[in-house]
Amino acid sequence: MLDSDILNDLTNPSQPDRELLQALKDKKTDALSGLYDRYGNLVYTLALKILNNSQDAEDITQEVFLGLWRSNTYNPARGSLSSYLTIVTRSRSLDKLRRGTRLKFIERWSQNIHIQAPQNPFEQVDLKERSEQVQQALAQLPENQRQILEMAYYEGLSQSEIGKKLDIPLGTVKTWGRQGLLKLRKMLQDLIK
Amino acid sequence: MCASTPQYREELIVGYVLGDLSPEETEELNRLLAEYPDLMREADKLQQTLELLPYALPQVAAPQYLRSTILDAIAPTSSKPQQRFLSWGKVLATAAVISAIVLSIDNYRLRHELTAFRDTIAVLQHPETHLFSVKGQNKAANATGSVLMNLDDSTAVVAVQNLPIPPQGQAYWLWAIVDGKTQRCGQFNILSSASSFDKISMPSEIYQEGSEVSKLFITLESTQPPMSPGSIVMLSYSS
Repeated sequence: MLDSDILNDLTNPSQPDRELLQALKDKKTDALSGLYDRYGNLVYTLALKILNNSQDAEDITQEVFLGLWRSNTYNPARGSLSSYLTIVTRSRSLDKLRRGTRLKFIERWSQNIHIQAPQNPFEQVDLKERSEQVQQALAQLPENQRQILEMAYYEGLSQSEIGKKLDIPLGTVKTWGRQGLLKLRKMLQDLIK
Repeated sequence: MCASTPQYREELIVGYVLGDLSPEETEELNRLLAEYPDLMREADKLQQTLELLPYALPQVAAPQYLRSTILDAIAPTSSKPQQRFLSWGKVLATAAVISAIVLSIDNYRLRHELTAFRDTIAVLQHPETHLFSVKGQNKAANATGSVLMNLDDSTAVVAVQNLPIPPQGQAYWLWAIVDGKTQRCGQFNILSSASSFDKISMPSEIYQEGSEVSKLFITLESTQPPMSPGSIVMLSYSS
């Protein structure tokens, strides 16, 4: 197949994100199906994990992809498309979970602080490889540390809320959270810009 | 003010990322950020770390029909230009009409209407405001109205004319079809059958950035929140 043929085939899995996003701006519907085929399950899986309800997860998935189609809020200077999608998915899922009480989550994309741009914002995230790496790193964390991080991320709980829920002193939660996050950061440093 | 240790700064940053700083700690962090600009960089890295969590989840395949549902939703429909946004000129002109309506109402209801009117102006001045015209049908064929939606605080002001006061035990409900899904916005009150307006608080999940409202309608139902709209539509808007 000629290179130009490949580039024109938006549903080809080796089509870089950058090309699909450009085609999306040009309103080519194949671009959305290409992105959905690439990241649809990632978005759905995360929404399902947070909401525990497949209908809700479907709604969120639909909202996220339709949102991608309709507006230009993805800024490549801030990071990869896949991390943008996970951030948006998590934010909308937690909002749905809390039924509108707006949570003050640190949204990197909404921060005005200038963060040094990552070197390769359009890197193709090899989901399978990344998945294995993160799974292995998490498995190496002590159970209690991992639990704090997962509750903070998937349930949107603050450290004090976690302490109340697990009936553990706040100081302990903070220690475990800090140790866990720092350890994880070291283990996954080549995935972080 | 004591000097901070690297460990303490680390604790503050982690607390920030995991979402639990006390107001004092937040102030402290703001101070330290000025002194140690690298702290934000560090926070960003920790935030990125936390955001890697979902990649470890065993992937669940979304149902097959979801893909086509999404793609169908973006298929171009009519060639009629979608006018979701009105120019400020038109919006202000409508405000003049609405204010004229308010001034014509007698003092008895004035206090209530003035509050709603001020809400209207506040809504109109807000950039995330969308205005829809609704037309009467069925029993309310002579009714007309406007619905102003403020996306940012999820409120709507409904201004209607010639809509009869509902019978005892019944109320008017506003519904919207947003991105193909029917959503109940809320109940509104009619004080005068000549003209009336009311402000409602909508559930915030109704509208997201970039959402498309294809239809609005007002039905007469029981005062108990209905799960889905009844078949008698009083007023509606279609894009």
